[in-house]
Amino acid sequence: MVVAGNHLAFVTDLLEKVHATGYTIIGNVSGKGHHGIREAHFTFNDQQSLVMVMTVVPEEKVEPILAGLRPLFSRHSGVMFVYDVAVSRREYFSAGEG
Amino acid sequence: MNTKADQKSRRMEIRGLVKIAGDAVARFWPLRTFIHHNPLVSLESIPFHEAVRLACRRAGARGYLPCKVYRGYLAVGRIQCSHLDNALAAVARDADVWVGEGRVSHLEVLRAVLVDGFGCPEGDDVVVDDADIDALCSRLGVVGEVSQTDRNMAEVLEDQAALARDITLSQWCDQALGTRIVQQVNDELIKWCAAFLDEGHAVWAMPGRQRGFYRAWRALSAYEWSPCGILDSRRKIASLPDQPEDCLRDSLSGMGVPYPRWADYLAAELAVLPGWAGFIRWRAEQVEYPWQKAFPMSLVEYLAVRLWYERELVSQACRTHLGIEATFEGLSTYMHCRSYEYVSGKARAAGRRCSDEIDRVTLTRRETAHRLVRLARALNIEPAILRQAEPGSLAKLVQWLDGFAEPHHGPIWLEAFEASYQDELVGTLARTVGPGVPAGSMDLVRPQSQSIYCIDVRMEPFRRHLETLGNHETFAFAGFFGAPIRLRPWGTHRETEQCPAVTKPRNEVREIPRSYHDHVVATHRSRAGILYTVRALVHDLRENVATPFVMVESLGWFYGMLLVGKTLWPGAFARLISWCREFWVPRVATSLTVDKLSAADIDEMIMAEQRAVVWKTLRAHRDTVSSHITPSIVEAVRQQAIQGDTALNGELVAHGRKLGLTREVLAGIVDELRQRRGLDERSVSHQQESLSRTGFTLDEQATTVETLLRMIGVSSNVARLVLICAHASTSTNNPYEAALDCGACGGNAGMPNARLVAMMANNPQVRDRVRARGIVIPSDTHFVAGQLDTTTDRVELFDLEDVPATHRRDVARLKEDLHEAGRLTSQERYGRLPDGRARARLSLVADRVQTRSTDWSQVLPEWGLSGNAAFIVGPRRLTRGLNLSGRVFMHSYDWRLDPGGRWLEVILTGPQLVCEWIALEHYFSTVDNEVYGSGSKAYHNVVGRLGVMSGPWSDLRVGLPRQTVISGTTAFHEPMRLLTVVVSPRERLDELIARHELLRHYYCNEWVHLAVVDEGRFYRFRSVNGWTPISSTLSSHRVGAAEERERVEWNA
Repeated sequence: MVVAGNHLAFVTDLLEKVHATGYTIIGNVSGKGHHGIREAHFTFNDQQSLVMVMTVVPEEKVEPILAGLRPLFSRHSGVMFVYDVAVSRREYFSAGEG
Repeated sequence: MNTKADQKSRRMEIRGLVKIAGDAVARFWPLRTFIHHNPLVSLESIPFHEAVRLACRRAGARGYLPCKVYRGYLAVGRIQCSHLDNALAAVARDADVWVGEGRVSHLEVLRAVLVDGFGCPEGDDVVVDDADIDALCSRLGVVGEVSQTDRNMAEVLEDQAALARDITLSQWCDQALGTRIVQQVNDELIKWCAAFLDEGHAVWAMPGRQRGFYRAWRALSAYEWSPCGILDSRRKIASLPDQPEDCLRDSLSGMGVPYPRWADYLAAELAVLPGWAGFIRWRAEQVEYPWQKAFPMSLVEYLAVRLWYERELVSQACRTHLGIEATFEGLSTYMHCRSYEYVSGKARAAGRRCSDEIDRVTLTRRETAHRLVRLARALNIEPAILRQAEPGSLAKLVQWLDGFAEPHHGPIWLEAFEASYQDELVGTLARTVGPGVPAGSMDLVRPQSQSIYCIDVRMEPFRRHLETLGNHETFAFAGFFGAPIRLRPWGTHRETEQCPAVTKPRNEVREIPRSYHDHVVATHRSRAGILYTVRALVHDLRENVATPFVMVESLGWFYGMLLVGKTLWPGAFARLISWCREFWVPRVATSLTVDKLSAADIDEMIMAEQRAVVWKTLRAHRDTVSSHITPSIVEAVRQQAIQGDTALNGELVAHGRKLGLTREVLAGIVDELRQRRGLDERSVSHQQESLSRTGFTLDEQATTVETLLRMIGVSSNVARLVLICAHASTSTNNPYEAALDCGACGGNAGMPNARLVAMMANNPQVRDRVRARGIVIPSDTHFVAGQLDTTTDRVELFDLEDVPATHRRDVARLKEDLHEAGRLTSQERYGRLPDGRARARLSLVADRVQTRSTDWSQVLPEWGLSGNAAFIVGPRRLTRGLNLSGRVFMHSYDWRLDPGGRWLEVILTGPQLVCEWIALEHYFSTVDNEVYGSGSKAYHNVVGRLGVMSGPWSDLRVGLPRQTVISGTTAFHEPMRLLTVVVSPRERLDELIARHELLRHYYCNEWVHLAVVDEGRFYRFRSVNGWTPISSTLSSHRVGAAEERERVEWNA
């Protein structure tokens, strides 16, 4: 998921609520979308820069995450990609109440 | 499985909807770290005036000053007529009508409406001759007549569109049926929020908070007897769903709110108590906030509870008053089918008389005639001539008047008001950068001292006065000086985030005692502990049910003495208390952990901690004797736990035998250490990562110093003594104390950041790296840290023990000049205070401001940031010697040293944002102090150690107190949007605006005005026309000199 920094707390909270076992955040990413180019040079402002959040979850948790993000993307810039992935330690990603 | 997944998806969808609804309320930080912010920050993606209209519709908030106040500014010359005409030109059409022998243009009519004030509620009390009105009424014929049925239907259509979008079902009931449901629901929510969100203020804490707000409420409210008259409430609450998302969905569905309006409906609900909702929004986002971790709460839970009350009460009201179901569809049908009943009921509830149709038509005609006569008078047209005008002309005039109703006046007045100030400022600056003035060159004479201050508006007078006292050069940078840190102060458990609210600390810094003061540390600790215990004891005795009676008898006389001392001699009393405290708890000199810990240091610290854990675990075991636990046993157990081998080491077993522990018991201890005490390889790695954030690497230090110097435009000619001067404030009994401290340091004192950066800049290794990057700091330069107290204007210098002997004389001279600059600043500031006198004696002023800072009854220790209006980004030569009256934020910047525009980008996306928040916080707190501000301090009641309420029961008050922006009946703060003036080529600004959405929102949506100084000429940025040259025929008044400002009566 790529969202503006000021929505990061919502996304991580959403992942907590669906019991994702973890996530990785990459800060200050740049790119171009429907609203033009977004830069990452916000030295003293973490709210405006884009962040990428990566998580690995079982398939049944994808739809709840999408359902939570859909209203956000209806008002704000952002993107979510879903991939099939292979993991080396399966038990790390399937734990937690579904 | 699918059903469960669907249920989960529905819950997450509700969370998503609440998230976007929550954007409608601004975050509210706890008062102890007061952060100035734009209350409409979530609407910055739309134009300013549109956002103000939207906020007015949602919260009933006013977005501009009352027209009467603007007319007062016009009368005293704060608004120029030419600026009013310029502002009107944007809405005036090129049209005119004949009245008698003369023509009247659209612009003249609009100007007359504004200047004369008719059409505004407060301007319609002028007496007009009845004969003139009667005569004109007969000429008006049917102008403006609309049937009552059409009026009713228009009102119904408008209300139908607003239902569940701008107004909630409970607000509808209050308006149409005269109920008080919103107040009832608010009372319940205030009660539960204040109890749940309490941060240690309450003597008796709400039970069950660890389960979250919704569940804690459900458990406790089930004991209430029919809250707000809800029948059978216990059974209903007991049958509520376990999850707040499900409860919220049930309420929305039950009230029949159409799905496309859910987000808007929830936003309207949050706007009812924006203070509490804003605080909950902020807190829910702070996952590491201790209170949130302990007692979680979110807007979803808040709304679930709120809508449950609402649904029940609305349902009861609709059944009782109308006999219909309380659903969106039911109410819409009622409005449509029984429109007369609805409109008259609404009028009754609002306390208006229900007039019949003939009355209203007559009234409308007389109102129109009244306005026309007023217009004629304003345009110097005789009423007799007006009566002779063609009906078509009269109709046109009426149409123009109707099309320029009061809601359109605010934007015009504001544009004119801002233009007047902007003209003055640009005119003043033009004296130093006009085409005929040399562009300036790098100075070659080495200054006596250089000092770097915060960009805060309060630094401007101090810098100006200091510069007059010697060859002192001053600069400005955001008050955290480019070092966003989490500070662990010595002697307290409270960590502070020393950086702007929009950024996160990247490094941790600890304050530690200096080694030469080791002998004082133990005394300090033990006596501070005793003091803490005594305070806690007195607090507990005071709050206990029985003990206050005894306390009054035994300690009442002591408190009485304190009361008399604090009240009658606040200054002397504060000095006495301070002396006593230092006498009892001796001060300890401290330093900061600037350097990164080495890997060996980190490992050593972790090992020491682990050994302590192992020792405690062994000691706690019933079979061991403390004296038998040797370091070698501890180390063997530690190694076993860390290595994670299931088979016990032979050496460990042998050690265990000496302690009398069997192999099984030892295995149990090792297992406990791994499972419960966190002694395993992963925990070690985590601890290493955490400790590695302490301090800065040499490269990070060099980058911090380089960034600071490059951004302020210093690359050579550094003085022998450089002062890095933070700021803070001193006040007593002031919940808003943090609002007077440094905003760039998260509402804290900026001293730790100044000390840290000075220590970095004094490090020879750091200087070598900075030199390699092209900035030369001479070896005889010393950086010293200081802090300006903005309430007393005194500067304290820190770490003077590190000053080389060669610089003692430089420091002494600087201290003298700082002291004198402080006295002059106090004199200037004192003249602006409500009870101050302009040009009062220096000796008197110093005493007065000192007393003010210690007076516990003082509601205005200083004006703080009030009066702010502009942000100048450029070299000091642009403003040096100019009296900007403490109204201007300044950031030093030299575009010639920033070829890529990188530093300008940082300034506009960081410090400018902070300035915009401050400017708009002051703007909105002034124009509508009841909605956006926090009302009078006299009624403030601290709640939960997190904010204030007005009286015992209210929304959490956001924004600034009335006393901060309004002085008695006079508006001290002149509310206007920020004007940013940048000294830079225009092309560079164009590039940045194209690259950053934030800047496009600011300048294109007119939340911030932008002007540049390019090759000695001023240009204004307009979203439509791009860069427009600013006229050179500008006035050159002293900008906003408060003592010269005419006072304008405040009748808000």
